Amino acid sequence: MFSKKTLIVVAVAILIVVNVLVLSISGNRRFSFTGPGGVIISVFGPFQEIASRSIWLIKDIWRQYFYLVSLAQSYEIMENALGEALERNTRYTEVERANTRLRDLLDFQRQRPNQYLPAEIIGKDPSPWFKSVVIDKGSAEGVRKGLPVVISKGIVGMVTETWFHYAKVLLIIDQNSAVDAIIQQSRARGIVKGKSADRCRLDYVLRKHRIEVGDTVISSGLDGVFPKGLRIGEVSNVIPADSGVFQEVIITPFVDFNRMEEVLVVISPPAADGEETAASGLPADPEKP
Amino acid sequence: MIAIFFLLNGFLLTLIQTSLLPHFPISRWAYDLLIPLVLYMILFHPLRISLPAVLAAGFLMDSLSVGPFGVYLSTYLWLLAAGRWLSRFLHTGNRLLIPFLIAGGVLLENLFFFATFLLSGRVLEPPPDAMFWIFEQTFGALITGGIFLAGFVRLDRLWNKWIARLSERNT
Repeated sequence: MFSKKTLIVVAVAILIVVNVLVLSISGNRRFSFTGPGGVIISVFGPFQEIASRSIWLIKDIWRQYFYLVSLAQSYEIMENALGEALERNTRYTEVERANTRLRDLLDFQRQRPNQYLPAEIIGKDPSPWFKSVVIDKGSAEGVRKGLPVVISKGIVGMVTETWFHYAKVLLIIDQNSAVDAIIQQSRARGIVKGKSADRCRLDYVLRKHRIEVGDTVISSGLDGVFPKGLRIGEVSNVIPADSGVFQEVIITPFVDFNRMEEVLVVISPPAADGEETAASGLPADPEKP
Repeated sequence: MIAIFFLLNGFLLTLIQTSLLPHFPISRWAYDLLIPLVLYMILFHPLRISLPAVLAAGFLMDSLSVGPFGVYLSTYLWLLAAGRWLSRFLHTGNRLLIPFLIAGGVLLENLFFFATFLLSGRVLEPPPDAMFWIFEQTFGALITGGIFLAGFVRLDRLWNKWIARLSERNT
């Protein structure tokens, strides 16, 4: 009925579709498969570490040279700025004291200070389709799956796999990532999801909220993974929907993921009940904002 | 001995791809450097050698990537199937043909990733600029792929000579 050629073409097409479907399903399971891949990372990690450190060393020497040149020029500017900063600092100290007094009055519980573990980035995801990094700290140093990873500028991502001295961090710009967030100005809540090209989008923001370009997006702390109030990014575009309940909000993260060298792993996450959510690999259910 | 040759080269290329290239602005359109090596193993070695090489390369890349496990493994296996099939009709050792084979491999890998994203439903969305860097990577492979493959041919010869000399000395 059919020629051999036709049958081969059909068989190949079916195989491709089955293969891609299986991969899509394995993609939805989200980082559950580690298997013997840890052995590879343990063997490969030290070499990545040496290679990365060598590059950083060369970069540092180069940077230091230009730094010294610009240092002399910036000294004068800095001196003026210091005077202004000292004046501001005095004002801020007063504000801080007032704030402390008011907090005491309202009987606010002081948040337990987080413990941070500094780690160096030793490798990046081999594919531009996925956004992750490998860091040089692992289970031996107390890093666990689901721990948040930050830098001073904001949230970096979440630990998704750990080995003895290494860990894989899923960046917030990856499409598998989800962070429960609020917009600082309007207090509108949503889920920050990775988009691409170093952009994120804030999903499930109700249309009734007025969002402006430049608004700051911070973590809400409700996902049980990221402590409340960590900076994520600023709103770079708002696309109001003509219909539906939600509006589309695009965010530019504060963290420059291409220039990131070191990160901080938050060893003591904000809430104990967040452990279960974090262990599942998904900080927040995207279906239920 | 070919296994050691493959492992050393694969290890080095993966190290360059994951730890050195990200420091340079070209990293986005730098294609998967294991493709030329995998294709070299497929086109210039029998199946009993190329199949374990393909499996090892796929497993290494899948372990290092955060993508769905098996995406690299599947891609390399399809490359193996396509390479073996093509070698029945074309003279795959032809120097003019090699850059196109590498570029085809890069294109196939990216299309495979693209399809995985598309068929995942709402979970993953192909990046909006994906088509642009698929083109960049394919073009990059077309320009440099041949150099890589020629390099592997030369390195393999040197490696075999060195091994032969070593075994002569020992006997």
